[in-house]
Amino acid sequence: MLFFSFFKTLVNHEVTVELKNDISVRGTLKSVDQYLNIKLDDISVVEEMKYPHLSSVKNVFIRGSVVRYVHLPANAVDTPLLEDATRREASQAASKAKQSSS
Amino acid sequence: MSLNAYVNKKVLILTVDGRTLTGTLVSCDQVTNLVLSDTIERIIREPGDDEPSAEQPHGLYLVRGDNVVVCGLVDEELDKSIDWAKVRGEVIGSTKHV
Repeated sequence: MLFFSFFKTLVNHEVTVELKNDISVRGTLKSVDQYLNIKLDDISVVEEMKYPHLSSVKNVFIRGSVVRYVHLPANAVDTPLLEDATRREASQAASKAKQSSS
Repeated sequence: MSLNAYVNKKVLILTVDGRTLTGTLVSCDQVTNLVLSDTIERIIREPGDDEPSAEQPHGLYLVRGDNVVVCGLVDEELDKSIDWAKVRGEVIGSTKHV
């Protein structure tokens, strides 16, 4: 759930999504869902000469399962906050596990 | 979020095996199963290939969700302005690495 919330904070930022088929798509992040499916607006394919297939497409839906990397704008990410949230979620998961075992 | 916003519009799908399909999106669901009508596969050949790039009609297609990589909304004006027979590009690789 953490990364779903995290991606929601990045809506309307420019991101580059690298897919498992080596295509990279750059665009404005418009929405994310629970599967980390991503919608981008005003897209451009990074190596457009190599992959002209998407040249008549401006808005895409990318299936979460085929995403290799998401390149994020560093200035839009509060790393200490993300670290804190990660620890919080980890400790919540640990206390839940303890409760169910006792 | 879902693909409902793309229903009844012309879409372009890249599949896991590197194919490019265009058609009108008829229906979609939670796991990205897609139904396309008047589906046409676009075969874009490599720059060195003598054959022209081609289109292969398939009619009504159901693409199972796990085979979908990208579903793009086609800008029809822009699409019509492109002579796809002359477009050359690299073969898209698979997203499966086993």
